[in-house]
Amino acid sequence: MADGEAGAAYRESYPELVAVLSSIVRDPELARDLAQEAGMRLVDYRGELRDARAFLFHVGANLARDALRRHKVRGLHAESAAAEPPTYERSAEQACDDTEGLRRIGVAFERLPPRAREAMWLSRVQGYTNSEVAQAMSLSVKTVEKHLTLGLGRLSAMLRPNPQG
Amino acid sequence: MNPETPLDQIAARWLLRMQSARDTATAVALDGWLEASIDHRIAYAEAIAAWHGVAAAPLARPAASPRPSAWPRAGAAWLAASATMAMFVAVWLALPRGDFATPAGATAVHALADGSTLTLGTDSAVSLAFDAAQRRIVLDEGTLHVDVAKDPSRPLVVVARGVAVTAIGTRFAVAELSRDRRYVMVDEGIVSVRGEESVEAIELHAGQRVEIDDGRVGAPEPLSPHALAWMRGTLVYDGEPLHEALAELGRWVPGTVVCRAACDEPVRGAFPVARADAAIDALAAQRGLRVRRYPGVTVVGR
Repeated sequence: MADGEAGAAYRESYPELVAVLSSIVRDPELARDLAQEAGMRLVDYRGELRDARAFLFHVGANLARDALRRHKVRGLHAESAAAEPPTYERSAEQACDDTEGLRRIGVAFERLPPRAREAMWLSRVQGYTNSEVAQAMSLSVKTVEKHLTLGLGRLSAMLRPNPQG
Repeated sequence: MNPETPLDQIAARWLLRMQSARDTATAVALDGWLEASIDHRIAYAEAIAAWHGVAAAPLARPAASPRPSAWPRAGAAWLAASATMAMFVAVWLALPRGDFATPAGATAVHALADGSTLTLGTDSAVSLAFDAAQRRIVLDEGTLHVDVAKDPSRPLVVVARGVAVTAIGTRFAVAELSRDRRYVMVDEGIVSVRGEESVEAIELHAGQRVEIDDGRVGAPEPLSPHALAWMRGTLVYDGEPLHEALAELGRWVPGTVVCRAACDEPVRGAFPVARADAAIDALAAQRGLRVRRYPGVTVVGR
């Protein structure tokens, strides 16, 4: 990913990314730290990438998930979730992890039921609206939403690093 | 392979609902669901990660799909949905920041009723608790210089994370270096410095500074003559390592400044505090480095 392109995607998505991450971690300051870490990971990323903006939300949401898990493990003390601000270090190593993370999505995607996989492809890769997906697959919008929900729930489970945490 | 839980499906349903119905009622309902449990928030984070991961990853096209076309992307829906979320964020952002505060890039001088003068550095916040026995000032974040009016019956104490500094009549400053590190600097008189992890307080004299790292007080060092130059509106570097200069400059601009190269090399220069951004460019240029700016982060590197 060229730096200019990554930087532009990051700049453009930042306010929205912070808003979404804030709604998850319930801490605007931590949300900004996580968004910034996601931005640095995007800038450092050297693998194949179809959508820089989606990468930011993917990495940001994973970081938010990790922060919440640590928070949960340590107990619900207000300060502890924010106690580990990102460091912006070991970028080369991290970039490899990100490449591996996206590769795992490809593997998980292959394991989805065929209709869910097709609906997901049209929606997320082709950028179709739900009614456009319905048209392309000759299904009702309601059924498309069911396939998308099913596919997304399965993907979340398949991408979870380990069952307890 | 991890087993799917009912929560995975519920989180997926919320995400898709936010995609199609972008009204305030849905956003409020989602917010209530997220607020209810940390497990909900974890599941929702995973749904978002998967949803966007599929769009980011280079995937193999499923066999049944039609050919790619130039249909518009569905980004606008998500954008509108998160604009609603931003309203909630705005409420959280309006948290109290103490009695006196400055934003990044500003300083402020406050004359107190007891005759003392507070000077707040960039991005700083203090709260006051004065009573008959003690004048207590809590430095919540940033840098504070105090010109203490003499009152032997009522010592003035500045408390910051990991350290308390007591003075009767003197001039000193407490500055935040990072989350756990502070400098205490004395430009006139004597103060008593006690770290949270120390048994005894140490005395610090005019022209000395000491570093407090996570509640532990280090050995006193000579105070550089320009350490408090910011009070006169100038930031001065005279051979400090680049990363130290950038860490301080980072407090004068919004966001974080990250050093990625030549971090230990010395830099020199004097800059007005109002032009901290230009100072970052100038110091980077001295070491032949590039400055790249992103929201919230400025990266100095090759």
